[in-house]
Order: sequence, then structure tokens, then C-alpha cells
Amino acid sequence: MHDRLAFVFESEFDDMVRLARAFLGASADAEDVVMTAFVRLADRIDDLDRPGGWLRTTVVNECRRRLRDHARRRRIWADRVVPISSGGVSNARDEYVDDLLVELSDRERAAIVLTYYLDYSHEETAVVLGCRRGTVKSLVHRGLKKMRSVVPT
Amino acid sequence: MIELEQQVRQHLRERAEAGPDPTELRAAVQLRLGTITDERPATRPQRLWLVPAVVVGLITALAVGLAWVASPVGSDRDIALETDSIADRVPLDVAGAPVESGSFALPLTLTVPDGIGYDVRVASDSLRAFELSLDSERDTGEPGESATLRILTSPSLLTVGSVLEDLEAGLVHTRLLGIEDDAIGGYQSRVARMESDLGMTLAGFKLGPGMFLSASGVDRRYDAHVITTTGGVVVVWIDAPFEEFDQAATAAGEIMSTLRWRS
Repeated sequence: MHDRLAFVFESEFDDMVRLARAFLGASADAEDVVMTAFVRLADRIDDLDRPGGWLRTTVVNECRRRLRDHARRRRIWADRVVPISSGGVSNARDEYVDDLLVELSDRERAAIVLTYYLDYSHEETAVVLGCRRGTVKSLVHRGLKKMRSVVPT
Repeated sequence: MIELEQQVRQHLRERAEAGPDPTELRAAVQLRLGTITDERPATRPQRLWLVPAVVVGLITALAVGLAWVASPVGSDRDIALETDSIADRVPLDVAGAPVESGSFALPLTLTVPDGIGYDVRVASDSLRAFELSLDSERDTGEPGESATLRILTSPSLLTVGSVLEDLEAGLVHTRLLGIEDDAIGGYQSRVARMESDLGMTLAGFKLGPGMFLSASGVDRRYDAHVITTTGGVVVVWIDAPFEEFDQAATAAGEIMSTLRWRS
């Protein structure tokens, strides 16, 4: 493997697996996203100044694409299909949060994952999602509001 | 208010950490990246030198191409094998019409019989692989949902045993059900039977030095028949969803029985 690609692979692989799993759970879909992202990276690594950032954006966008279809989103988030997981998360709190996350649009969910999982600032999240900082603030705010609105009283 | 945000944060982190150790995935990605980068130079030319580099490259490519054409089939050409789908698949509208490979290393002709239950299209025709897509009526058009029949070769090959050994050693996301003597289309073979029930997967299969085949789809069965021909070792690869595999294998056998090697 070409040196720069090998370096990026070694430094980013574990983080990309975690990121894909944060979106898709420990599923074959998450693995496929990681494979797809690295294969695409291999094709253009010589043209990238920040391959790590590009990889992260690709993983996020690919996860969003897979979640965009409502039926698929239901399957992944609500049914928590974890065919290869030996340690899937399934306690009551996780199911409860999953049930809240499933209500969000893919942009709202992506903004929340980037903000609360990666601790990205609104500026960083805006770069990954390709939108303005204000839009990120609005997506996060709207997402949390939507989740609160379905919290059982 | 804050509690929900904390729950979301904690949930996402646990979700990210949950699941099996990704060792197999790491190996699969490494194998795939290794194959990709083996196919091209490690660094690209600087832009300043792009024009002369392109000219030199074209001349070199021409020379290599001529040497390639002139070289015997049995020479040691160690090139990654990846079936590049052609942009416009060629429908074989008329069952019974012979189909010739234009670029496969071992020129072949085959005929798609009537009544095999599939619309058959040529999906790829390259030096290393001749691929037919077997489209059943219920295919949704989603990638990886149809069945395929691929005929693969490498002039540098190798032996039946080494192909099967490499295949077995490199399996990820796929379970080997067994290796046994069999036959396909009248050819005696050793067949490796495999399956993947992990849902949607993208899997790579190594068949020899620099020879790599990829497959993707949902819950797949694979049979790799390795046969010996006068031109070398050939792999006949059948790839289909579980529920469709028997039908695809029967169709593949019927198609293979029409195969003729052209001199």
C-alpha cells in the first residue's frame, strides 16, 4: 500500500469505524461505509491536503445517504439490526434514545451526531455538512426540540 | 433539558464503541487498498511535468500494449483482476445466438439457451474476466441483488490448488462451506462453496498474486469452480442471493455447457 494511504489508514481506521457505528450501529452497513470511504480515498489521496477530514466527511455523507430512505432508517434505527454485533447496545435508555433519533431528518441527526458524538463545534459541523454555521445551530436546536416533543410525559 | 443532551451523547458514544472487534474489516480494507494501489504508481506526476509525462506515458503505454499483444498467453502477467463493468450492458436479446468474448485472454464463444429463467446480459468483457448478468424478473435493480456468472483467468496461472488455497486464506465476511470435486457444463472442477449471511456486504476474494475479485450484495452464496483448460486454469464464479442460488447455478451450468474455446 502507498505510504501516505497506509499512514491515513492506520491513523483513521478505528475512528472511522466508530463514527460509522455511531450512525448505523454495529451493522454490515457500517462496515460497508468504512470500506467504501477508504476505497474512494485511495483514488484521490494524492489530490487531498487533509485526507483525514475528507474521509470523515465521506463517512458522514455515506451514512446519511443510507439513512435517508425512510424504510431503511426505520430498519437501522428502530429495529437495531446488528447482524454482526456480539455486543449491541440494547438497554432501555438506548432504545429510548434510538426511538427519539428516528424521528429526526437525516440532516438533524447528522448535526446531532457530529455535535454530541464528535464534539464538533458548529463551525466544524458546518464544514462537514456543507452548510452555514447558523444552519447547524438551527438543525441541532430543531432536532433536540423534536426529540423533547416526543418524550413521554 | 440538559439530561436529554447527556443521554444522547452517552448513547452515541456507547453505540460507536459497541460491536465486535473490527479486525476482519481492517483486513478486508487493507486487502482492497493493497490491490488498488498495486494497480498504479505510488505517486502522481507534478503538474509542471504533466505534459511531458503524458507524452512519455502514451509512448510507454503503446510499447507495453504492443508487447502485451505479442506475448504468449502463458506469460507471467501479474495484474489485478477486477471486473470493470462496461457502461452500457449488452442485452442478449435473442436466446440461442452465440456470444463471443472480444478481449478475454482465452477467446471463447457461448450461447445462452432458451428457458433458463433469466435475461442474460454481458456485463463485462475484459482480458481477465467475462461476466454475464443473470437478471430474473423479480430483480429490483438494486446493485448486488442480481445473480452473476463470471469466467476469470490469468495467463500467469497457477494451479487449481493454489487458487483455492489463496481464496480460502483470504476469506473475510464469507464462510467456506466446503471444497469438493464437481463439474460444471461438462468440465471437471474443484469447487469452493461459500456464503455470506451478514446482510449487505462488500467482499473481496483473492484468487492469486494480484488477482482480486469483488462482490457485493445481500446474503449471498458463491460457488467458485476452478477448472483446467488447455489455456490455463480458469475460475467459473457463480454469485447469487441465497434464495436464487440453485436456479442461478443451474442456469450457469447450462450456459457453460455451450462454451467453446476459440483458437
